[in-house]
Amino acid sequence: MGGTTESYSAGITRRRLLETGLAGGAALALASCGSSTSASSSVSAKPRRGGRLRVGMITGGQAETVVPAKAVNLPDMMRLGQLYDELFVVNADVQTVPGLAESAEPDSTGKVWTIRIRQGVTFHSGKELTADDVIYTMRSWTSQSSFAYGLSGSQIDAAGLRKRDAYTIEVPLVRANARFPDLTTAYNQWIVPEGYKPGDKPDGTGPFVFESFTPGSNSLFRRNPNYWVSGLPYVDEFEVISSFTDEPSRFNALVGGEIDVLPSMQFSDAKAQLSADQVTLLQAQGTACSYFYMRVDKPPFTDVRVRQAMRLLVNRPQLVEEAFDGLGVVGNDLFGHHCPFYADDLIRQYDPEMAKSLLKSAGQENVALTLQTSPVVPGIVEAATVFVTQASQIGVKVNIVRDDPSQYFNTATLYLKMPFAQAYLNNVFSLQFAYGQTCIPNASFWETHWDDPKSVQLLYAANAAQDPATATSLWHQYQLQQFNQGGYIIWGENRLIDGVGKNIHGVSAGRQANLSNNNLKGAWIA
Amino acid sequence: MQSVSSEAIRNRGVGFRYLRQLARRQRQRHPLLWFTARRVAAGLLTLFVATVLIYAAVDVLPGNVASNVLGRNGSPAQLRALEHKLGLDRPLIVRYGDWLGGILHGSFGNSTTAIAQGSTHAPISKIISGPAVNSLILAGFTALLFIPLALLLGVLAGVRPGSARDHVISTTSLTIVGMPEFVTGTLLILVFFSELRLLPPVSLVEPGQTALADPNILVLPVATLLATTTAGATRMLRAGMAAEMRRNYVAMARLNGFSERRVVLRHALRNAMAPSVQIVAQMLQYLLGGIIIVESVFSYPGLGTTLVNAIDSRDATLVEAVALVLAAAYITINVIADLIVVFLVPKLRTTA
Repeated sequence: MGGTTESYSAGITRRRLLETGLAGGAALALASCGSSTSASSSVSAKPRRGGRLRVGMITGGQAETVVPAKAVNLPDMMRLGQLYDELFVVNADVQTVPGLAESAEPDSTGKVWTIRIRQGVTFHSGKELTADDVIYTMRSWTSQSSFAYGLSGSQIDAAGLRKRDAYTIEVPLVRANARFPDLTTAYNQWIVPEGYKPGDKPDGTGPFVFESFTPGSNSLFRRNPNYWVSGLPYVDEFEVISSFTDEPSRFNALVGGEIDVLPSMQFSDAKAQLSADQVTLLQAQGTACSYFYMRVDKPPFTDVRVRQAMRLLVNRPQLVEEAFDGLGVVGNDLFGHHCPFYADDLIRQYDPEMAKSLLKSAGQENVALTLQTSPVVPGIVEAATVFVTQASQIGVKVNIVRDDPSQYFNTATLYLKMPFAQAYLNNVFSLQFAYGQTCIPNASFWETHWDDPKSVQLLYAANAAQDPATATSLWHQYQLQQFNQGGYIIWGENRLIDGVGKNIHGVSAGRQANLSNNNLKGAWIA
Repeated sequence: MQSVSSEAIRNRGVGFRYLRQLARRQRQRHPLLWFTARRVAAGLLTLFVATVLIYAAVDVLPGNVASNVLGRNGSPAQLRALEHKLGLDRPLIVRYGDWLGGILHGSFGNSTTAIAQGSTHAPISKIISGPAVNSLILAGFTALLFIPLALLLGVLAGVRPGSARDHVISTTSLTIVGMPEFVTGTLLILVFFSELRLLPPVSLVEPGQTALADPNILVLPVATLLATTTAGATRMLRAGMAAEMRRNYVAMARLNGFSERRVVLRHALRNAMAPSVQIVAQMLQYLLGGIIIVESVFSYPGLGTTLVNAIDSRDATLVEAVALVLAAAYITINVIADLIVVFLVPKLRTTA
């Protein structure tokens, strides 16, 4: 990584990870793939203190909130990531590392985890972080109305959740999980003080302290002088400007110096910046991906040969070029590229001839399909259009239906009902997260309606395997099955691109999410 | 109502015919007052019809606030529960009646989206007060500038139709009028920001302040709106002026030896005033729609951006409140313009 202070993740060496005793996690760290490709925006200068860091985001309107359990749009994630911390975080190499938790150890069964909480951490109100706060927060995750329920909450046995001493808690799980901390790194799992209720003034342990918030417009925070990572943050104030309604004005604001940070830049703007060079681009090839999905319980996709044919007929480089403006790499129909245990050896070939013969043997030669698409994010509809052309080359006729964006992810109308449609996944921090959300019956993103009990058992076994070699083997088995029989056509992995002003340093891209998952605590203004 | 004998009616003069005569006498004595009263009543009726249309239009939009707030994670059961909590599963008439009742009591209600997100108190009046002031500033500056500018250009072009002066003014205004606001705005940004670095490309306002805090941010949005409204008004004023100059009395005045200046200012212009008022009113109404687009282009924190955001998040009550404010402004401009015209043209007071 670059020579800057990139917050505490730089301080976590492999030795530290071993010391913290993350069972299996140590092996994970050693098995991590190579060096990060995160780009840093500074070189060797000493960080300068002071100033206000302004982040520009597309508005979430009146739906914006500062309640951790309710955050759903991007400005909320940015805001809450500065006010609060999580127990564990995922670093730029997609490794789970300590956050507010110092360590976590499973028992031999993997069903009971002991989590040690960092000492000497205070909330903005001055109250010290203890096991009581963590228990209180985790208990709220186990409620079905919390967004955290589908992430880690449903895995926790709420009745047995207890504190062992002031800084140690015991977390019993519903089923064995060798890497439970992975699940706690996802969004909506920030630690709040005991007794916190929505509507209270935000009181977190994060690098910035709450000052003001106007939904759909603006929020202002100031530096936390008692932040538990000593020395950070450098800037005095942090502002999230979420009044932008469209990308061109947000981009203009960055170039004009009205904002300092622009998370998630549009492909066309990024492409132009590669030569125009008015701002610094932070780029990383990460775990985010874009895909088509087929419901395996709806004909003709019930026949695995048809599914395989659909995957083989896709010319992936062409899709990446059209949909991402070339800013991305091809996908191989598997989630979580760069995550621990990802099956690097499984590469999808482009074989339209084989696709044609598979369709013929399934009796579906020249089949006619309907693909539902919607401009929910840039690139999706373009990908659909290109796909139609590619399919027609082997005689498959695809009819496109454009749905309204507000219906496309609405479970009451279209979502999880459509037989052939598109989607994307960002913030994939672990394989168990990706497959747990997509390939278990009635999961949040159960798009393909994959319903194979043996497969689900295999997933649980892979999650439970503490021995690294066993885990690797089971995960490979699981991914091989998805690779061969699954309903996903994951054709591309979009590059994560953020823009910062030329005078902004201490910020870098990471594979896990934009801005290393909104990690701006080490940012400084030259 | 107690029955009154026909004798008593005749004797005491209480009856419809009497009332009609009374009314007619009042109208003759205070024609302006009556005209005003009728015009305002008609305006209120139009506003009421507008509320019905607005409410129905928002209801027809696909998707609702529940799916917007819960996002991709929301299960059908959660969606239904939230809809029920917000009262969205009640019939349209009931919801409309509720809302209208609130309006008549002077309350816009709470933001549907904010309530859906768990807020207990999110009064719309507080949400739109800041943006309303900002939009007023934007529209106000534009109006203050385009009215004299358009009048000047329109008269200059119209008094000598076909002249070189007229050609220049007419062609320029035609070109500008043909361009949509977002093209004009983007061109201005290109020139004044990208090339010259003179002005900011977006109009951001610090929380708690109005747009007047940093006048720089007003220049380009006002210029964009000014271009289109001035061009449009100029064209119509020029046409009106030119038509007026062709009238017989102008030729007569000239033949009588009146100076051109006197002909134009004291006679032609005064007669062109009444239609000019309507033209200015029309442009002001156009301005109400124009601010929505221009605010988006510059991310200017006014009612326009509030409305667009509200529609995006299916915030029904907020959309209705802003649409109602804009409709009321639109209708008010109409009514005032009519009143001014009647004031200027006495003949209309009694024949209207």
